[in-house]
Amino acid sequence: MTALGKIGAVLLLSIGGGGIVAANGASQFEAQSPRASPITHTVLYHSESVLGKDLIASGENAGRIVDVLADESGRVRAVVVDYGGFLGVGSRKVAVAWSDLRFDPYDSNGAVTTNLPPERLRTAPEVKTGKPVIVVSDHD
Amino acid sequence: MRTLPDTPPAPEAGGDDYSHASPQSLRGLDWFTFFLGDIQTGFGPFIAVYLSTQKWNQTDIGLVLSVGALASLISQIPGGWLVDGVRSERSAAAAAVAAIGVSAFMIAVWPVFVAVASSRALQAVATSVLSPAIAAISLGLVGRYALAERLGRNARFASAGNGAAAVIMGATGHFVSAQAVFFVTAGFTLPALAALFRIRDSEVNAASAHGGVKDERTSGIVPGLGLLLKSRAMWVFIGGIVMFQLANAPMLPLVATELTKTSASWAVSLIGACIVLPQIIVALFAPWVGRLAQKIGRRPLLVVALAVLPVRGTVLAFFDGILPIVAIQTLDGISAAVLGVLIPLVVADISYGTGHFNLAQGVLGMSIGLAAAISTPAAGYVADTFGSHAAFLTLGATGGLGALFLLLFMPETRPTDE
Repeated sequence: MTALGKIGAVLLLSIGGGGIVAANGASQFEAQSPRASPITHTVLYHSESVLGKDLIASGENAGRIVDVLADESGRVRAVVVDYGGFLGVGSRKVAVAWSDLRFDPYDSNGAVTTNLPPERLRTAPEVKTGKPVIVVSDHD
Repeated sequence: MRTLPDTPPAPEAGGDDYSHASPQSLRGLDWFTFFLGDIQTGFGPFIAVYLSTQKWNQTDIGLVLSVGALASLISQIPGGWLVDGVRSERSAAAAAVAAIGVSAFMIAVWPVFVAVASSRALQAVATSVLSPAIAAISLGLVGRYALAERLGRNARFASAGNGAAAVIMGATGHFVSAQAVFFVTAGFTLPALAALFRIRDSEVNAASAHGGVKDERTSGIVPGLGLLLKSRAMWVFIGGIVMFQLANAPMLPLVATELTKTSASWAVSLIGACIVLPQIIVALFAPWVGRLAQKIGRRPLLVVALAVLPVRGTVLAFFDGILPIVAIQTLDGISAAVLGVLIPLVVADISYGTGHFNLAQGVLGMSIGLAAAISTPAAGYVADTFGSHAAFLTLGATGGLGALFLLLFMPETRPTDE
């Protein structure tokens, strides 16, 4: 398990969600660089918001992705999953390593999957604001 | 007295001087409380689940929930005062139900920040009018002496509604979508309104509904509060109920979180059981509680409702199995059955003759809201720092202290005779 330090919550991709997001992020960054290189566009054909997607852990629906966490260097490290609960009562927020997630753009349900057993998520420490986040991952 | 052939078991107690309510009105009130139980369920913690399916971020979700909580705290007292001033409680209740329907519909079709925040505020304000209005209609219909039994019946139907809603909405959320839950909620306002309009407005005695003897115009909020808070019983009662709420509010969320941690794929149904089971208990026992409150008095029942808390706290702290946890949740139903009846009842007792029954209910509502707002994070903190066992014991001890407090200081408020 990796204990990350202070982690800012970063909304990855678009909040508006869904569909194709074209020409964002990367091009602005390059336009600001001193060398006046021609502005390039990155076209993302299959990008989608990760927020609100279900996470399937070893075939079992483990909950919904409610947040994406990046570390100091800006690298995306984990997603926060709202695990369990009934009508919002009793759910726990746990962090799952980004590197353990599998994305299949052609999956009909649009769910994100992981090979982690659901028990790992169930017993994981809860994500609390202002506290170091313990991330569940497969390799450590 | 009645010409109708099928005289129902209308709540009638000896000495009630104005039991002029028709069976139609009384049945209307039954179903009105049932559908209200349905309507309010969707606005609970489920909103956070729904908004996260709408790709909301956690900060905005937290903010919107706070807007709702704050609006609810602020509007309780003015809401009660408003109900004391209206000529028709039925119209006030109808407007509030319609507002809640609109607010559920808005959340379902337009989940953007401004819309959800204002709809949360609208729902909170409407609830602040609606909750006292139900008790006011009851008091206006059946009078002071039959109120205990009538409130027992209200609690039965409200809990049946709540339990049914938890099942229906849990299924809707699971099999259809989170959004559909709010359409269902908005849809339930229609039968609620239909039931409300079965109650004949002319049978609701306005002066009685406001807790006044004479039909005098209500004074302002401040003089009204001054009048109510002169009563020592009012202060003691608020203190006892606040202690109950401090101890009780965090227990279910804590239990549910523990279940999620320990019991794998079962957890969801077990949490469902922990929510629905107490409602069944309330539906079964609330009418009996109402009759008992009239027979043996309010004080012993209040003490029992709080004395149950240390038992729950201790069992939850020391028994880890699934069965004890779910079984002990039935005790939650006992407290809920007693207080669901006794909170409006004792408030009616205490505020009798002031014309400020609903303002007094607002005061209680705000105190309860404040206590719940403080205790859930506080219990969460204790659970994080010292473990959930310590949290359950602390909550149990708080409830025990509350029981002792009421035992020592709460006067009996049951009206004896004219």
